[in-house]
Amino acid sequence: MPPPDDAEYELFLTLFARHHARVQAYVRSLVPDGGDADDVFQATSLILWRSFGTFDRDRDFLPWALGVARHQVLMFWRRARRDRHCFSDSLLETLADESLHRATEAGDRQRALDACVHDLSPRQRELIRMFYAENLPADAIAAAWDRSVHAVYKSLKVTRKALFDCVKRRLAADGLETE
Amino acid sequence: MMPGDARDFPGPSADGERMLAAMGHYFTGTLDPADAAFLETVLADDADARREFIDHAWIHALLPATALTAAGNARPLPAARMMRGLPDHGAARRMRLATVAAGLVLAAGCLLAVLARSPTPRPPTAAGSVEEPHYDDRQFPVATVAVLHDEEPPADAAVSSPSRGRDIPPSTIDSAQTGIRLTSADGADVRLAGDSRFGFASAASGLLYRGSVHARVATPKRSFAVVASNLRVVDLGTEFRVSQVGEHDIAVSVLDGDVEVQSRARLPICYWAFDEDSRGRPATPAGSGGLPIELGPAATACAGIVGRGAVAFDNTAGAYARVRGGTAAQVGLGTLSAAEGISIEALFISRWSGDFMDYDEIYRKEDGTCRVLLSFQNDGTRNAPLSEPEVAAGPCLSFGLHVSGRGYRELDMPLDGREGRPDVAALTDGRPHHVVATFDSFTGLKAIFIDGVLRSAHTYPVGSLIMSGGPAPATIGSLDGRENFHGVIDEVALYDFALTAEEIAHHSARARRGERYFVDAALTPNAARWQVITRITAGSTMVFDSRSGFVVE
Repeated sequence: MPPPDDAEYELFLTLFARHHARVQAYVRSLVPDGGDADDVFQATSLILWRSFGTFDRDRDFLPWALGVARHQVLMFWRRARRDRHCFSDSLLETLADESLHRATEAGDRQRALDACVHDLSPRQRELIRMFYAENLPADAIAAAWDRSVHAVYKSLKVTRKALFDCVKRRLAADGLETE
Repeated sequence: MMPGDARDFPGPSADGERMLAAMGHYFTGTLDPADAAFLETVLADDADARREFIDHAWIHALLPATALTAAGNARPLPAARMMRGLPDHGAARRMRLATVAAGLVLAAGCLLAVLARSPTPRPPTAAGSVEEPHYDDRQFPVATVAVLHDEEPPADAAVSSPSRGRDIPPSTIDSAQTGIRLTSADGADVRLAGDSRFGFASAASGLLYRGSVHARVATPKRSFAVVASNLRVVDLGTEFRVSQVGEHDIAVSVLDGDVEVQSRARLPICYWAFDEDSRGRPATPAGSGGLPIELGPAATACAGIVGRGAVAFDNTAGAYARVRGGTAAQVGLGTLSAAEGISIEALFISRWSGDFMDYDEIYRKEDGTCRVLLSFQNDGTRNAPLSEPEVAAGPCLSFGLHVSGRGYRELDMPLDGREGRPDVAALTDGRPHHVVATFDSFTGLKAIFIDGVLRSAHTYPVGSLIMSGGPAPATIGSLDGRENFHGVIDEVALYDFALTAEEIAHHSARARRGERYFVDAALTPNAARWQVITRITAGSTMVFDSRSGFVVE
């Protein structure tokens, strides 16, 4: 990492602080495993910092950062193809391109999701908390609840679907749903 | 197409149920070749199906931030707020913010922490080898808990009215005469009266150390709590004020709606008794956290110091007990984070060598510079700058925390047999010993107790918060395959507050009698950790003793 020039350092921090949440969510939308997504995001962040000198200051930071993230996501999937099932390069590129549009409206979507999570049943909220906040694996949740792992996966699927519907309704009600 | 209909995928070739199932497998990492091929076909051919898939993927992507709301913990600011950018550093400040400034510096530094990799399991070291000390000095991202407003609070300001401000991590704030206004990340409007000291520990609660705080929540569905020592005031969609009116007396005034006043149940976040179940494995952990333990290959069940079981560690790389869960993406979050206080309690039989450069971990959570550790150390002067207070080189029992305003510091208790401290021989005599390490932001006291007696202490300013929690797994008896413990560990308990000297003496006495620290009924998973004292309605003021919770007037 190059030694930080004070002004460069401050400018980078300012831009990165403003946009990193969107970039991180974009990566996670394309790399579903949390640990893998963290790795890709860390790599993206490192490249953003190292190549910040080449960034055109007259352009927006977010599209540049998302472009770097997109490339890192595709690189990740090419490496990961050896040991797991994933999509073809062409489909991954299409998904990566089409997901870019969602990054620009992440704030609205996050607010809608906040409200929707609040409206879940206590049991569903607990499931979301355990899986997404505590990072507990499904088998640990199954053991804690004395249920099968299959039942946990099914509950996650149903809960995500409920959230999907709720977010869609809220965004539509606010006139924010994008096509 | 009706919301909630599982068959609402618009693609002509998409079977809704199968699509949902396949996406579920994709998000949980259980996608098989058939599902992958099915998704590939549908998504490649159908733009509407892709749009639905991407929207589902964004739900999955945003849930880690949102999920914390469900737990009522501090959480990262909603994306929209995070995207507003860094604060205006040129704005005039009308308040004294020494500790806040320290927190902001930390938060800025932490932005670059994402440039480093997140913690991953490390390769094991050679069995029993002497090794270099390992300190992961990265700075991980820190949760934002509130916005500190630059302007003075106008008398008639509406809740959460627009105002310039700066995002702050968990911080202690001293207000000058004019007072300070903040908005919690959960939307509560919080105002400190002049000459107050308030610890903003999470998005959902704060700690009153001095003066007076007025809080009003944005919506009845949200809540905000003020903690004063052993007392907690929880709003119920309302407006209230909490004021210190004596050394230990707290006045609670309700301006609108109701509040609930609670006292701390003084139970651990997690309690691992390591008693065996019917299949000879360590049983389900007790305590409100209920986090399971994963034993390494060289950590074995053995006869308990208390109860049926304990864990034996043989000093090799596989000798560890790793806690599953309790982590979070940011410092300040997760079940195993603590801000206002902490206690780490355990029983052990140690076979530590005491040799130079030999380390034995009792408990460690290595979240970069926001680590928490309790371990035997003997590393000469290599890490002397971390010791607070400064001590002579030699074997010690070390209790490390990141204290706001100070950074990561270790209370190193020399094992020299002087001034009431035990020496190495006394703690490795083959007999069980009880250890408790505590920190209390309400007194500033950081302390180590052995066998129920205070042996070493250091005092920080009242209101110093702990920076802890984050992505690293907690481990008992090891640091990810390094610095492994040699001996037996039993009855490990973690608290997010400081046990008192009386409680510690009581626990130690119970352990000597072969009893757990608590009666079993108090250790059921998810047991309530706060008990309701009373509810106060609008227009009323009551005064409580903040230590006992008793009503004073």
